[in-house]
Amino acid sequence: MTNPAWLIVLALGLGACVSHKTEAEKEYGVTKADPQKVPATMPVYGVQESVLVATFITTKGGYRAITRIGQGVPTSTIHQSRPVLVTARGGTGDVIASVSVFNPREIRTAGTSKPDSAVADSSSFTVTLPKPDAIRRLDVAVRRGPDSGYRAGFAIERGTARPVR
Amino acid sequence: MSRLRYILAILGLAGCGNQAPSLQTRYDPLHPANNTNVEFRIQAQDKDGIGNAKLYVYEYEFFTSNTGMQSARRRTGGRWGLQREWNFPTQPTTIDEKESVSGFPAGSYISYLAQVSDSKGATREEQWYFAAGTWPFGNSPIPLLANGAPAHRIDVAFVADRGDFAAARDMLPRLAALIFDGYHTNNVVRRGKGMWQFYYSPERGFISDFDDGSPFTLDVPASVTNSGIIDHAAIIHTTTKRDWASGGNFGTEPQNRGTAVHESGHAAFGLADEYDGGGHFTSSDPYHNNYSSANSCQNYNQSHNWPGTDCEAIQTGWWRPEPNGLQCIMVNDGDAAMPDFERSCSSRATWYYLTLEGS
Repeated sequence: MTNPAWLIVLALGLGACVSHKTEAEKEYGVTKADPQKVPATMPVYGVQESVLVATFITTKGGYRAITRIGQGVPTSTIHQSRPVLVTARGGTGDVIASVSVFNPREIRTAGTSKPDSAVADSSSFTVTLPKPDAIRRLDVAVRRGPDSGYRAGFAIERGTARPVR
Repeated sequence: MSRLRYILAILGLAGCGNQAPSLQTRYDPLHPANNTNVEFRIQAQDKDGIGNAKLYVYEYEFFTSNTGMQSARRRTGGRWGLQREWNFPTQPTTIDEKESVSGFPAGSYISYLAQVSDSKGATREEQWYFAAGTWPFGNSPIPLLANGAPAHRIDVAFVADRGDFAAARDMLPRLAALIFDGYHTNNVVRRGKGMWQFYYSPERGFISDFDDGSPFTLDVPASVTNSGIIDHAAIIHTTTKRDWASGGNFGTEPQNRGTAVHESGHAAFGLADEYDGGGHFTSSDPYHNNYSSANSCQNYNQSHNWPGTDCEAIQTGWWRPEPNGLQCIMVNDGDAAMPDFERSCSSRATWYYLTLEGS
């Protein structure tokens, strides 16, 4: 039977190796690049897919939606707590995607000195949503800031939006 | 035999403790014009001494694929591979090397890969892509520093204020400092450097002065807002204005690097302000920096092994989990200086990076 002590030393070493980097030292987004394996062809903006491009024009009177089907990258769904929630639904009301965005009419001074805020008369924002052929409805809910409490729905037919009462 | 195993194990232990060098790279000028020489710069530090550095350059040409996708392919006869190798027999702890490369023709997409090894063999590398020569894709955002699929990156577009720049390209010399000496020097951006991609708009835009009484105007070109890849835009101006933000987009003077990163902290990480009079809100995302009661703030801190007593009132109805003494960039943006994101904000950024990488 081989003396396992050297294995214990090695295991301790590997453990120390794994935990050596502190949280502050960890790096993100670093891909191990191999000079011999560089791609010969690539899409400049990454692989794009069919998306529903929805532009919302917002005024004191409410939200208007202009939609079309195009190519692009779906808007990130990571943040769900931003003031305005846009939910894309299928024919049975199932949620296809929900994205949250900043309140487009809210204005805040940049930086941290002499803070102030205002409300824009009008503004707009655009989101891109996956599976455009399956989307039948867009719901908008304003949760904070100007127009807080406002809700609107838009029926989507072949990529085109119309308001739903 | 067993003695050899012990030696190998101990050598393994020693090797494990060896950190790869820290590495910073840049190129100049940003988006070089047709056939304009490009200077690559590699800076690295390692307490064990730097042994070797390599610079690889790969030359692509833009084209539109059969499916209409804006793409790049290896250019026949273009640069492809090792450009320069440096060996350092004296093993200095810091290096700062430059390599000038003759320019690239219209419609070029250039990749450079810098690889640095320390005297014990630990290696660090970074690879970036940038456009060179006449841009062939109309008003689409032009990559200044890219390295991956936009869906898994934070994509920032700079827009030249038409009041200050006769052409969008005129802004580029100011952006080099904002990116390399600004964003890349912040603690959270630095450790997630590869997660940040920078572009500029061929079209100019405009932001009004918050104080001048005119209608609030934040004109970001539709080719940026509708691009589907840009997460937020910054209007760059040189005329002093009182800047503001809306919809995640903002204006800034290029020298106010701290302000730019503070605003990107809102736009990218969903962080709130930590100062009186700022934008305050709760969030269901982890590691937030605003709480609507002292109790919820203290519970948050304690659940992350931070002192509950660190919670401080920001203004009526809002508490921050990070004490003012830490001077997080979300409490003081530093204007032209570059404060760090502190513990809670930094943890939010880590969560965001991990989620974005895995999304």
